[in-house]
This record gives sequence, structure tokens and C-alpha cells, in this order.
Amino acid sequence: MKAKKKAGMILTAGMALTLALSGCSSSNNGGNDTSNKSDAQNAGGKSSSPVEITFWNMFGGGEGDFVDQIIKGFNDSQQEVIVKQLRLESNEYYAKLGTALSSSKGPDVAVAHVDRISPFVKAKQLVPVDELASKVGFDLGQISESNIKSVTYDGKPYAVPLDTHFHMLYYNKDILQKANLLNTDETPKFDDMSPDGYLNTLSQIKTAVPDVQAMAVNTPYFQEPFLNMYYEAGGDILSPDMKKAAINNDKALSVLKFYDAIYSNQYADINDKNPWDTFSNGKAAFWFGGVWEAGVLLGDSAKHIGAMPLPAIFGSQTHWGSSHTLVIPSYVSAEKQEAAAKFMKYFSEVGGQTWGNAGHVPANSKVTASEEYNNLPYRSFFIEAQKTVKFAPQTDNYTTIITTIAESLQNIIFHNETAEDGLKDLEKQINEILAN
Amino acid sequence: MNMKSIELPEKRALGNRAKAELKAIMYIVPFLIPFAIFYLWPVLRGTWISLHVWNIQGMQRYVGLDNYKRIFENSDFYKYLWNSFYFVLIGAPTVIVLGLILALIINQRIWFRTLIRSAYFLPYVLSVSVISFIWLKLFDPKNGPVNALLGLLGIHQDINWLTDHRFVWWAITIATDWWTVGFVMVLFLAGLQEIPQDHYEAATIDGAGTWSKFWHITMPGLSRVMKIQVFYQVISCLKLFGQVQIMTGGGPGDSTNTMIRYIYVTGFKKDMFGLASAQSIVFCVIMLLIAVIQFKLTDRKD
Amino acid sequence: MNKWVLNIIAIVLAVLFVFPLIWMLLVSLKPDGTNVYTMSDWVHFADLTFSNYKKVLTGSAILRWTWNSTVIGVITTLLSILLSSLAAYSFSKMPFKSKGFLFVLITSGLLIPTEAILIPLYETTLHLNLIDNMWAIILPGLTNPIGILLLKQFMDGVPKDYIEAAQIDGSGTFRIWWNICLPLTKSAMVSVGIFFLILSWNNFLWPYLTITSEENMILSAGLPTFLSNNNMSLNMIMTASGIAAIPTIVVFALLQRHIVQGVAMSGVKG
Repeated sequence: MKAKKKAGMILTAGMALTLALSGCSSSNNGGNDTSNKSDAQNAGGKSSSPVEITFWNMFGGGEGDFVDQIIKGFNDSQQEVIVKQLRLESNEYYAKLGTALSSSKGPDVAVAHVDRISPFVKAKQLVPVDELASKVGFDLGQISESNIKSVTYDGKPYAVPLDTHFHMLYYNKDILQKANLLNTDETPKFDDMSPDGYLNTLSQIKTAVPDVQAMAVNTPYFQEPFLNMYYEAGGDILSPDMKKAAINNDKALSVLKFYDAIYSNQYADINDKNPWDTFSNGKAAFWFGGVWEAGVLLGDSAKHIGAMPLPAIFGSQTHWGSSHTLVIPSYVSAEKQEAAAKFMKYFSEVGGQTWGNAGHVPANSKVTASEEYNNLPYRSFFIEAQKTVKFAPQTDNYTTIITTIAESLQNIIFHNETAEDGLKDLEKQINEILAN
Repeated sequence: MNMKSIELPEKRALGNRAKAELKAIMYIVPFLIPFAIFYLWPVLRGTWISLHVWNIQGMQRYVGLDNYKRIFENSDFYKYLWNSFYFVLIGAPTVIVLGLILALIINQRIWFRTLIRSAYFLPYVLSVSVISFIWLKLFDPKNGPVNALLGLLGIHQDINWLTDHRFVWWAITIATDWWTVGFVMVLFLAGLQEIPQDHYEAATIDGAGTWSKFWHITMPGLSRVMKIQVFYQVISCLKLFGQVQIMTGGGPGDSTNTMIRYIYVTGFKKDMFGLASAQSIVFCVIMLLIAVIQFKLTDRKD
Repeated sequence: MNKWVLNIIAIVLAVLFVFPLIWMLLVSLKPDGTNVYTMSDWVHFADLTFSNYKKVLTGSAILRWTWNSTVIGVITTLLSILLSSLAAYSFSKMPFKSKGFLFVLITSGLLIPTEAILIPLYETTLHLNLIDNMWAIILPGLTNPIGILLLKQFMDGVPKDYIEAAQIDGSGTFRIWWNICLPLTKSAMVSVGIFFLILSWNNFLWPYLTITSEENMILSAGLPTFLSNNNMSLNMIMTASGIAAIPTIVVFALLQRHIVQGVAMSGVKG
């Protein structure tokens, strides 16, 4: 029967295609299917072929280019180690890293923000780096003290800090000029340094230059502008023993009222989903921007943008900061651990300068002391601002807490609940999380 | 002797039945294997996890029904449940009515019929991320063509489609309807084509007008398709996630946060797997209830 | 209704429907940093360029993702047809005691969405070592019972005499499925195939969570990954979306009739 033959052929072809395609597509388990060959060869002594290690990071966009440079530089500079990188999307990075660490299938070395490593250290999923560093001749003393402290648990460092990153005040000189708020040395002219004084300055800009935002505020990631001012005011997220929330207080309230005034007076557009673009395109006068934006914002002199440390609107220069570190999972073989350590050394010492070009303040003090680094635009301000950075509390529940804070803040600024209620609710939620 | 010859055939019959049973099941086994591993087991496992505090590293603590208590005592749960239902209320009727209208149009002998039908259906084959990104940019208050078009029509105030409470659900509905109406239209078309032409002819002879024909012939003729559509759209709208995740991130604030996104954020962003599993179970139960209610309602109508 | 009015309405609606896609295309062909906003932008054709496409194609693994999506889609489709057909055959043609129970069990699969079992599913996938593996996406996709429901309905329509005739001829159960039921349910199988193909192609959340490496990424999940880097300009976003949409649109244009028919059938009968 013709029908039977046709059906038969179609099905057989289908099965064959299925098998062929599943073979063709080179999917495999996880990202560390690296050479079993070289492992076998290196059972005893030195490796004859280079050790390949996988490196996970979440650096996309501009930062990605710099990382690519560093990796290439490392690979080109020696024959013993080859680094293969895997760029993951930043939104899901920690879910995936967490999975990898728990399942012992993942990278040989990875980037991790300093505020996220605590649970991994507690679960013994990361190796301490001090011995590895001395094995490859990497003097950890080069790393600035505050950075090393941030990754030290029980006296041992569990990660190599690469940088400190935080926000600066970027300003558009042209707009300030039009509003008569630019000093002769091209720095902004501020009213008295207080919330009301700052609001006054914004109002002057708005009157003089009505078709731009006086200030671009990072609404989509509002927790950052919030924490900047909240830390200035002397606030904390958690109590010193990290057992209770410490965020429901007058300081937080005044910061929220401050930003609410900025939004309601239209000094900033709350509906702008891309405030960083708005400022970069010259449509805003002020922007609490990340140091990592320095390349884009300060690199093009035609933009007439300047930078300075965040003004002490709420009384002090303390502000939010975080830090990128490199960590090595504990499931990594001894040989690859050493290879990873070599990469870490390179990244810190040599890559540090490239990384500095990206805008971050390198953790390696030799780099920050160098002439090359200090010649970058406004860099002395960056170094100054780095000194007053406040890291997140070293709690295991950081991921949960910061997500909860971000959500709560969104509700508050969009008036889904009042600041008072919102803070009360946030405090309750954080306490629940900590109680677990 | 007689007893023996009676026993054997019975035994043989039993044996044959067992064999037949086994054979029948063998044909279902290829389906059952992935079904059991990737559906049944996770459902059971999810119930187990929901009784614990559990994070991504597998560290856990048994807490019994605590998670469920937390869900029902937290006002967020009711808010997001309401959001999911709210979308059913505005999404389902709009897409069904629009789909019906488009089907009625196509069913007439219009010019470029196939081409126009393709135009209405085309968005359906795109993935949720593509359509979400397109509409995210279309609705941009300052640079998006939607506001530009409105400007042409005389509305000069920039509407903040994705960040204004008053408009955000309309934005999501418009994007979703545009995306899925093709599916609805095609089903209605198939249904329309099953209604015998002579019914219409007889009615015309009897002097019935267009509207009357529509109400008394078309609508009843489409009742079966309509029931399927309503059922499908209700379930589909309750599962809203992708568009919200990409276009509004749940915002402004959490006004467009839905049940599914709530589960996703609790599990994968807040690292609270136990709580997220409990939320999932509750959501499943709600879906089952709705399905049962719909079945009962539609059965009674028949 | 006045013929003219109807046609005009139909055409206007059609234009409105393709408008977003045309805008997307236009923006993707404009130099990076420009927008299509005012009327004059729309007709300004002088600066159309493929530079964005070049950038995205060379700067990301989008073609690889499209390939992955295709492979996964084809495998899912073929396997789902096979598994559904075998099971439907059993439900339709073979009497057995546990039929009722199994049937209800399988149908329940329609009600619980994957989103609700994300976490234990993720854990299971993890334990089976399938994270970042294409089978992690294919296998859970096969648990949708709609194929069985649809094919069973069609197989119920296969006349008993055909089967009895074949049995008299000495055909075994398997041959009957192969020689008779399969050919007679061909159009339904196409429906099922198309349904699973579209479902698989547009599957977003699950692959987003389980695929970690860029090379194994699939298109619908890779796109948000690629675009979530800040400072992605409008043009790049539209270019990436365009690249993701174009293969689908092309396939749709070619197989239009079958796709529409297939969807209709699955909806009406299912």
C-alpha cells in the first residue's frame, strides 16, 4: 500500500533526523568540560599542554570589552594557562552561579560581588585564596585594606577583590552654564549643602533650562540612589549584629521625602526607564552615575561632562559601594586552582590598569598609585570617593534582602504605599527573612 | 475431570487479560516516562519542598505549613492574585471579541483575503520576548511611535504607558491581544465555516436582517468554539508572565506583578524555594478550581 | 454591510497589525542612535544601512541560538508526535482496566502549567545533570498531553472494519498502528506537530533558567539575555528582535496554509 510506505518512510526519516540532529548540536553538560586529556597527562608533574580554565562573569556592554582585553592579554602573555570566558546575563547570574556551586559543575573561576559571597563561604563552596596566592607569587598585600577586609571570614580571605565601584556625581557643564551654576573652574555651584539647598539648586536649573531634567534619577534601580543618600545620613540596613532590620527610621523617611520632592516637582522624570541614556545624551544636568560609566561619559570631551564625589547632601560623604571579586569554587581540581590563581594575579596586577580604564577603582593599590592610572580624567576624585564607601552587611541573606528592598522602594516611589507604611512593611519583611 | 477442564480456560482468560493490559500499557510507557519524571515527580516534590525553608544550595529546614500561613497572611498574595484575575477580565473578553470580529471580516469575500488573514495571524508565531521588546519600545513615552501617532490625532500629552497606573494594564492588554488574536481568529474562522450556508439562506428568505442572523445563527453555531476559547483564554491570561517581566518589571511599583512572576521572583530572585513552591501549589489549586467551575458552568448551559 | 466599507476596514486593520513589525524593521535598518518618530523619519530612506545587523550577527551567537531553537523544535515535534500517537493508539483501540485512571492522570497535565512546578523541575533537572543541556528543554516539553487527546479523537474515527480486516490478515498490534492508524491520522499528526513546534519555539522562561552557556542558548531566551546589557540602543534592540523574528516569519510565509489549518484543528477538536 502506498500510504503505508509513505508513512513508514516519513517516520523513519523523522527518527533518523532526530538522532542526527541531536548529535550535531554540540550541547553538553555545563561549562567546564575541559580537557580530561591534560589531567591524565599531568598526573604527576608539570603539564606539557596548557591548562584550560573556564571563567564566568556578568560583564556585558562596555565593561565586557575591557574584560575581553584582559583575558586576551593574559592568554597571550604566557603558555601555561588558557582562560575561556562565559558571559552570563546579570539578572540570573547568581541563580546560575549558586546552582553551579551546589552541583559541583561550573566554572573554575568566577566573578562574584562582595555582597553575595557570604552564603557560599558558609557552605564551604569557595576555597580560601591566601595559600594559592603565595603559591603563584601573588602578594595579597597589594590589595587595599578595606577590600581585603570585605572578603575575609575567620581571618582568611576567600576571594580576590578586583575593584571598588560606586557612584559619582556627573554633571553637564553646558546646562549648568545656561543656569548660571557653573564656577569658573567648571565645577558646579551649589547652594548650601543640605536637602533643601540641593532642591533649590535643582529648581534653579529647571527654571533656567526647562526642556531638560534637572537631575536624572536611576528609577529602575532606585535602591542605589536611595542607599547613597541613606548611608550619607548615617543609616544602616541591618543592626550591627545583623539580626534585625534597621531601616525603618527618620533618616530613611527623610531620604524618601527628598526624592519624592524631586519627582513631584518634575526635577526628574519618574517615567524615564533609561535615565543613564538621558544624561548621556545631554538631557539632564545631574546624574548619580556609576564609576563604570566613566568611559562613556568622560571619554568623549564633546559631551562636556564632569565628575566629582557625591555632594554631602545628607551630612556625610559615606555612600553605597560594592566590589567585584574573583572566587574559586572548592570542587575545582588542585591544578586548575593554581591556574586560576595565576589568572587572578594577572587580573589584579596587569589587568588592573585596563579595569581602571573601564572606570572602576582597582583594588590593587599599586595600580591606583601609578601615574598611568592617575592620568585618567577626574581619577583623583574617584580615589577620594572610594575612601568613604560603605559595603553591604556581610549577611547570608543579602540576595533576598536587597531584592525585597528594591521591590519596596518601587512601591513607595510610585505611591502604591506611603513611605511610612512602606518602611514599616519593609522592616517586617526583612525581620522575617532574618528569622529564617 | 470436569472441574479441571473448567479451571484451565478461566486461568487462561485471566492470563490473557493480564497480557493485554500489559501490552496496552507498553504503548503508553514512552509517553509516561518523561511525564512521570518531568511532571508527576516535580508536582510531588514541589509539595514536599513547600513544607520547608529551602534555598538554592539545598540547605533546608522543615517548617510544616508555615509557608502556607505566610502566603495567606501576606497581603501581597491577594494583590497579585487579583492582578492575574484583573488581566483575565480585560484580556480575555477583548481578545475574544477582537478575534471574532476579525474572523467575521475574513469570512466575507474581501480583497486580498489570504494576505490580510496572514497579517492578523502573523504576530502569533513570534516569541513572547520579541513582542515584548517591540511593544516596550513602541510605548516609549518620548520616542515611541504610539505617542507619535496619538500626537497626529491631536492628543499631545505624552502618555506614560508603562509607568502610569491608569494606562499600564491597557498597554499590556494591547500588546498581548495583538500577539494572540491570530489564534482566536483562526479558531472562530474554522467554527464559522462549519455553519451550513443554507441556514443563512433560509433566514434571508424569511426576511431576517444581518444583526438577527448574527444573533440567531452565527452565535449559537459558534457556541462550542466560544466555550473552548473562553476556557483557554482564562487559563492563558492567568499565566501572564513574559510581557510583564520585560515591559514593566512588575511595575509601576508592583501594580502589574502577577502570580507567576511572584513565584519566579520569590524562588529565583529571593532564593526562597520553599515559599515559592508553596505559592505554586496554591496557584495550581486555584487553576484547578477555575477549570472545574468552568466545566460545571458550561455543562449546565448545554 | 457596504462592501467598500468592509474592505477598507479590513485593510486599515491589517496595516495597523503589521505596523509594529514594519517599524521594527525600519528602525533596525537605521544607523545606530537614530529613531523613527516623526512622519519625515518614516519616509527618509537615504540612511538605511545593514550596519546594525552586522554588529549583532558578529557580536552575538544569535545564529547559533536560532540553530539551537531549530534543533530543539524539530526533535520536540517529532518525538511528541511519536509518543502521542503510540499512547493515543492504546487509549483508542485497546481495552484495559487502568485506562480510565491513566487517562485522567494524563489529562491533568493540561491544568498545571510548567511555571507552577518550576522549582522542583529545576531541581530534578539539576540532579539528572541536564542543566545547560538541550534535553532539559525537550523532555519537559513532551509532557503536554494535548497531542494524545487530539490524536485519540482522530483514531476513534478510524473504522473498526479496517482494523478487523488487518487482524484477520494476521497483522500484530504494532503493525496495525504503523500501517493503518498512522496514515489515517496524518493531518492530525501535522496539527500536533505544528502545535508543539510553535510552543517549543517560543518557550521562554524555562530555557531562560536552565541554559547557562551562550552556545547552548536558544533564540527566545537568548534575546533578553543579549539585550539586558544596559545602554543597548533602540536600533540594536530592534535589530536583535528582527533577527529573532525573521526566520519565524519566513517559515510562516511558506507554510502558512498548513500552520493555520493545524492550529485550527488543534483548537477546535482539542
